[in-house]
Order: sequence, then C-alpha cells, then structure tokens
Amino acid sequence: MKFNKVRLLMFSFILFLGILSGCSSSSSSTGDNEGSDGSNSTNGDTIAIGAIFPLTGAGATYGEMYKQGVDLAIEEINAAGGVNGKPLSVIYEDGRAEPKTSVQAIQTLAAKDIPFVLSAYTGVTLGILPTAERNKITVINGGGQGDELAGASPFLFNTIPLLGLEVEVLVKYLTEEKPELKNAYVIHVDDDSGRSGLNKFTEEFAKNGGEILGSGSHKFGETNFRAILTKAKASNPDLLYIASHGQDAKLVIDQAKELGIQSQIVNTSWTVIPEIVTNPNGQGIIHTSIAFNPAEEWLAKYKEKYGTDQVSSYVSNYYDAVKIFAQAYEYAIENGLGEDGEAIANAIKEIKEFESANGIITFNDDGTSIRQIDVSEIVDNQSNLIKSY
Amino acid sequence: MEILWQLFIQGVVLSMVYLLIASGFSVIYGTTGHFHISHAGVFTLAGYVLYLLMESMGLPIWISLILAIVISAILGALIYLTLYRAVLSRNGTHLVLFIASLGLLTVIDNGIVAIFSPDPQTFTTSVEFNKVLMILGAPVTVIQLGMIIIGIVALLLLYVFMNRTKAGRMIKAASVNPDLSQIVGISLKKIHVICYAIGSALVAIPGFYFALDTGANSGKGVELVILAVMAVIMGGIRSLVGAWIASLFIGMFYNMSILWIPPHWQTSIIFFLFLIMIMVRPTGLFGQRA
Repeated sequence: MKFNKVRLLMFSFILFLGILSGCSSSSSSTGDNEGSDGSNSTNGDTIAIGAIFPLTGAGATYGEMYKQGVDLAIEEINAAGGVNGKPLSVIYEDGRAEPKTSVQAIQTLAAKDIPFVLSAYTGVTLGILPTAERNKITVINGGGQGDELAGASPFLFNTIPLLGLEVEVLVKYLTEEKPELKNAYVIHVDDDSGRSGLNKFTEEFAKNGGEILGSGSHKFGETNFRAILTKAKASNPDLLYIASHGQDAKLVIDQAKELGIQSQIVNTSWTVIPEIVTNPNGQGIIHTSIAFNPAEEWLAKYKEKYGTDQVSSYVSNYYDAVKIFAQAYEYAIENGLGEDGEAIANAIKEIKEFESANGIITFNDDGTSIRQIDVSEIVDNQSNLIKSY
Repeated sequence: MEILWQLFIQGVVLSMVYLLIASGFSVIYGTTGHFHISHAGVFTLAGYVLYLLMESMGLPIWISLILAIVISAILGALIYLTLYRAVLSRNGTHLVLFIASLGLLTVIDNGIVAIFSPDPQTFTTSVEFNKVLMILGAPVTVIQLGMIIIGIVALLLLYVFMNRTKAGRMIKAASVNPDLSQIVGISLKKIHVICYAIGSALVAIPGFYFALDTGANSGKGVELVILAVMAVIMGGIRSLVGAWIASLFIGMFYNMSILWIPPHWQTSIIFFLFLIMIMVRPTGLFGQRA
C-alpha cells in the first residue's frame, strides 16, 4: 500500500513537472537519418540542423508552412547529393511560439551540437539568441518581423523583411491612394511583434497627418475580442489596423464583422493565411505582403510534393533559409573557416547575396534583408495585387 | 451610452460563462472538498463531444446538446469513480488528488491535440447560429443568446434542486457534516457521484458555447476555471448565490473596465482586488465563519 502511494505521488509529480516545462516540447525529425548517437551532429554521416517552430497552439498554421519549406529544401538537397557529400536532416522542436518553451528547445539542440537553427516569431527569436550566441549557433528567422530583430546578434539572419518595412509601405499606400481614410484604431497582440506594429504604425501614420484614435491589446491565443472591438467601434475609425497573427487575427476579423464594424481593415503579411483569405469576413481587407514571385520550376516542385499551388512566402522563406545554410556550410569548409555555427555566420556575411526561390536575397550588415513589398486586397478568396513598392 | 450598453451585453455573456463554471465547481468542491482542476478538462471535452455528435455524426443541434450534456456528466462522474477514488482509497491526501487532477488535465489537453490536431475544430453546420441579433442596438449572436437562456434555466434548476428536493438537502447535509451524514445512512459515494455529474453538466454549457463560437480547442479551460474558482472563494465556498454574484462581478469587470483600464492590466487588477477581499473577509461574501 505504502509503495503504491509513493509511486502515485511520484507519477503525479512527474506529470506536474511536465506541465511546468511546457509539456509538449516534442521533437521529431525527417531526413535520411538523424545521427543516431545524437552526440556531434556534423561528425556522423549526416549533417543535422535544428528548427524551433510552433507545431501546436495558436501558431501551428504558420509552423506547418515553415515545415513545408524546410522539408522541400532538404529533399532537394539530398536528391542532389547532400551538403558537402553528406545527407542533410532536420530536428524539429515544438516551441509553441512561446519564448520559454523555445529556449528549452534550443538548449536541447545545443546539447546535440547543432550548429544551425531555424527560428520564427520575434519574442521566440530574441529569447533563444543568448543561448545561440553562447553555443555559437547560427540562427535564421523567416517568420518573426519585430523591429528589435535588426542587429540583435551577429549570429542572427532574417530571410523575412521586418515589420517596420511593411508598415511603412502600408501607410505610404494609404496616404497616397486612400487619403479619405484619416483616422485609425489599432488592435494588436501583446508581444514584441504586435507592439512593433503598433509603434511603427502610430509613428508613420501620425507623420503622414493621420490620427490614431486609440489602441487595444490582447493576449496571444485569446478567443474573445469583443470588448476591445466594442471600444474600437465606439470611436468609429476609418481604418482598423489589426496587428495580430494566426488564429487570433482570424477571430478578430470575424468578431469585428459580427459587431458591425464598417471600418476598412488593414494588416500586413500576417493576414495571408487560408483562414482569412478564404473567409467571407476577410474579403475587402487591404494588406501588404512580401513580394512573392517564385520561379515556375520551384512552384512545380512545390505542387508535386504538396498537391496545391496555393503557396505562401513563408514556405519560401524557410526553403531559402535551408539553402542558405547549405551554401554557407560548403563555403565555410572550402575556405577553411571551420564548420561550427560561427563559421557559418561568417560565411553568410561573406557571401552576402544568395539565389532564392523568390529572386535574389541580400543581407544587410544588421542581419536583415530587403525585399520588394506588395500591397494587395483580398477579393474573391484571393489576394489581388494593387501596387508594388 | 451606446457603448456602455454594448459592453454590458457582452458582460452578461462572459458573466454567464463564469456563472456556469463557478456553479459547477462550487457544487463539486463545496461537497467533496476536491480541488477538481480537471473541471477545465471537462469544459474542453464537452466542446469536442459536441463537435463529434454534430459534425462527424451529423445529429441535429438540439439532440447533440442534450446528448453532449449527458456524456459530459458521465465523464465527470467517471473521473471521480476511477482516478479520484483510486487516489483516495490509497489514503492519498487532497493535495495528491489535486496533483492527479492537474495531471489528468494535461493528459486531456494534449490527448485532444494528438487526436484532433492543435487547430480549432470549427463547426460547419452551425453557420446559422453565428447570425447576429440586435438587442436594443447591441449585437448578440444566436449562440450567445442560446447560452444565456440555457444557462439561466440550468441555474434555476440547480437552485431548485439544491434547496427543494430531498437529494439536494442530502448534498447540503453531506457538505456541512459528512461524518454525521454517513451515520444517518447517506452514501457519501453516491452523493459525490451526483455532485460530479451535476458540476460537469454545468461546465459543459460554456464549453459548448466556446466550441460553437470560435471552434472546439484544447487548453482554453484553465484560465476560465481559475477565475471561476476565485469567484467561488470570493462568494463563500458553500454559497451558490455568493459564487453567482462574484461571477457576475468578474464578467462585468472584464468588459466594462475596458473603457478605463488597458486590457493587459485587467487580470492583475482582478487578482489584486481578490487578494484584498480575502484579507478583509477570508470566508468570502456569503461564507459562514468556521
């Protein structure tokens, strides 16, 4: 009897620890094999990279797209003989888009001597950088757009342009083409990227003579936005800028329409997810996005693997990230820079310009990249290009 | 004035969510003394049960709702009969039971993700229930109105059951003095099963509302249950009416205070008010002093 009680207590305690540690930090891997001893990833017969993506939770929609890009690139690289003659594989960690869970994930990856990690989300990427720097891990972010990411670390590169650039273009378009929309209300997610959106929009909009009537924040993963939207509605804004992403953005839009908000809704590339584009409530939204004109050949490869040609730029951001790693790794070896994370970071800085699925990508010294930004409107369940900047 | 009225109506909706969760928790905790945090798990399961009945089996909404309430009540009773009784029969303390309950909640939330994927399961047949009605200029969806009406009926039934029926009086007796109740021949096990079933049926109603409103999703229950537990403590552990008043306060606070308080401060302020209240009146608004 006594033994049972102790065992039960232990069992409960372990479960409780599970909850404390974020509980679903599961990992899985694809590729030929994973470097089964798990000790030094690059010394075996395969080269392993890490990816900390939201595989569950409110960000899972994006995580799925990131994963598609990574898997596509790995398949292609391995079919062509691998990196420096060795097959490439990836270890996925579920960061749930939470900085805390993701920091644990990068520690797991650091323990396996992974030199290169893919990351997403501003808060997550900022959160894992100290561990990355300590362990000399190069990080490429293809999803997080918070402006604090610029120059955040010599080990960080962003294949996605930061939010500031998109918001600048959005406001520029609005003031040039829609001067009748004079005031705005901002709904934003209360994280680094959402606050970036709010601050940049407020700054740019005011600079161009617009008036910000107010703003309301919500937690990431919230489902009820009716109170902040009711307050927004009462101020009767011409524009409603929604700096929220994923499922949150979809629900904000649904509930805004439900409450009868007539304002023109604007957003950035965060809007370009099927839940919003093919949603009756999403029609008429004006949004920016990163210009995405993938090569026919690349599109065909995507369609062959995933059975659809509805592809987002997030897929190519991570496809590019993996290809950049492969190129930088080979460059580092050829030029005797070494093969650790620092060597890869130096190689990326030296190469600077990379071919990508979506035109040339050039990295600035602060790790950011510049791409063409498009303004589009959602009509008939798709994003129709209005103007490019 | 219009905004006040609109926020008030949204406040009524949110209050009803807390009212039902808190009433369910109060019935269970007040009688058994078990800190049943898996109440949040039943909340989540109820939404998925409704999803399976309506979307996978194609049953009409009314039959699905009734069946899902019954299934949720059975699930709650089963949690007590299997897990909790196993803990208690091995002389586990209430703390062990709480940890076990927390463990079960994790298993439920993650199990659902494993089976259904982390994406919210939205109802396709419920589109007409998302229709917006106007109550004197305040928009309310059919689902919200439905939850309020069903909720009021359920709470009235609960009140009548607890105060006017023999079974209700037995529950009250067992909660005030379990030992004496056993001596006069009341089966505590039976009473506890009834309490778990009633409590779980009550928490299922807001579970349905959340599922129909924004899609069945796991992991959404804990925060609601913790606030509802706070309402139970604020109201006085064994006082249903106390829990109701406190739930109304919390639901209204969340909506009305948005006019003056930034949303990210609301929860901290609610907990701060709660701390002050239990320091001044540890037994809650309507609690009797021990």
